[in-house]
Amino acid sequence: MKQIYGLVQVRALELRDFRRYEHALLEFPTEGVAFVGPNAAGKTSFLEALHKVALLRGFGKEEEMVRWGKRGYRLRVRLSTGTAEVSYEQGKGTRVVWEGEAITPLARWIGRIPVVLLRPGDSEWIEGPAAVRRRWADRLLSQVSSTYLGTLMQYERALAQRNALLGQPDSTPALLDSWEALLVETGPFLQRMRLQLAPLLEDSLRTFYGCFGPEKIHLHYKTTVDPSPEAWRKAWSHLRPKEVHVGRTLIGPHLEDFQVQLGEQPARGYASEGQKKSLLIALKWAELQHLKGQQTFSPLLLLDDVGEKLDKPRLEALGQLTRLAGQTFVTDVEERRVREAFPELPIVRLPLMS
Amino acid sequence: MEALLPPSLASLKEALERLPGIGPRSALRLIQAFLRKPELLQSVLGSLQQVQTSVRMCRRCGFWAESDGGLCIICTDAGREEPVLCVVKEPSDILAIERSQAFRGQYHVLGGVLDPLSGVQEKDLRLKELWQRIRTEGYEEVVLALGTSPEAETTTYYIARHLADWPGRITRFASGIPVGSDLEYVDPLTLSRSLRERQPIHV
Repeated sequence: MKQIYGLVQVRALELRDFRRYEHALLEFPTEGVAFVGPNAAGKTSFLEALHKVALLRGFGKEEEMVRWGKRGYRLRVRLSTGTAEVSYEQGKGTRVVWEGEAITPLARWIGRIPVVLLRPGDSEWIEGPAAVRRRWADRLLSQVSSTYLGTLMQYERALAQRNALLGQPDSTPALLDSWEALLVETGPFLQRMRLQLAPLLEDSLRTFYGCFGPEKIHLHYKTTVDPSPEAWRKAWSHLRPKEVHVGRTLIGPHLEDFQVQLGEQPARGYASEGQKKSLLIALKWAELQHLKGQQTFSPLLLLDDVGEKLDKPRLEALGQLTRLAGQTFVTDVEERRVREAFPELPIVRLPLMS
Repeated sequence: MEALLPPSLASLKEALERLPGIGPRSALRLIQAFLRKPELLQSVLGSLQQVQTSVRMCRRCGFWAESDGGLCIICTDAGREEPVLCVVKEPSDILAIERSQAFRGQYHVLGGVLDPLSGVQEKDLRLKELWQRIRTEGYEEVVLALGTSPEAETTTYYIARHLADWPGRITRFASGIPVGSDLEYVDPLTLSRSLRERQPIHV
């Protein structure tokens, strides 16, 4: 496959039967654009389309992304390095074609267009359950390392199989051993990658958050078992009867969490609304820096309707993020705010869709 | 559109669509070809009937067999003397390996791999037959060629573990870089395994 090197820039995006668009074609300058328009004007659809093209996942369910009455949608992007088409059809799933060549398996595509996304619901990263932060870390690590993504897919499959086996009355130690062999080969690797990620992000988080407040941020990955095959086997030697009883695996990265602290307190439950907003902007800064540091090119930055209710310093900080991005795409209902925060971004005005 | 087809064609189309690799469009194309060339339909019918009456699973290795003794062409080939038993998932895997002309031993078709999520258990695989053959047929090596999916890896491990006390060699097919390809096109997971399982060079 022809590699994408250098700066990834989206020159044009074409939608067919995507959300409420039958057909739309937009060309983008090198900085990116800001989509401005009233609610329900279809601004977010463009960001979602870009996210789908990059990470093969939109913001909602696939069926909801298909235009009403159609069986699938097609997205084409012209990048500085070539043309990609990402299509979805009911019953067939997603397909990626890069420069005329179908990409299989799809995992090979992830990471070619790195993306950092901020959406209104993202305070879940602070307030939500551990699964939110695990998904976030998996998405970030998968964009940097296809070995991580491949290992994660193997781990999840083996885990589902072991859990299915634990629930069956005739699960023998020999069978459990065999599934565990694959889990101890993949699980500790995932743990080590996440353990390495935490301090790297913590550094950039602290630096950027320093603009907002004096609290020191701590980001810590908490494991359920040491990241080594020996530790896993030892844990299972005690845990197995209990696992057979409950029918699922009780150690491993699928249960672990990133803990976020502001000063001495956990951010979850204690951070003020203002602190949460600052923390999220700092987090995006850390993600951008991480992706930029690991890749030969800068990520796309997608900011979906996040300007609302931000005070001036935070709005300025949001604008600062574009410095690390290869290209920025913003949606907002208010043109004045966009002009203030992103003075260099051209504006695309979208009317209310009938 | 289905309503336009005469009932017998509709039911044929439905049956064809249940075959692997055949969608609604290919099904219609097959039907069209059958109707245009009755002799084609006749020969396919004849072949299908022949297969139904005379093809059996080889009673030794599990490959396809048609001879009276119930053994397949590989099990009756006296020239295959290498004392190695190659364990594969499906009969079609034998064809793939034979195409390479690199193997002169015997095969054993497992008929699947362990897959608790889909309800495939040990008893659904031809494992008892495998243990029996390894005990009685005098092999020096068992090579496991089940693939690299998580299920295949686990089944490989399961078999190797079961045979831990067997005196012969237990091996698996290597994973690595496809012959003739450049490193930059190989996915990192394959690369890391090729590096881990690297081979000494004999000169």
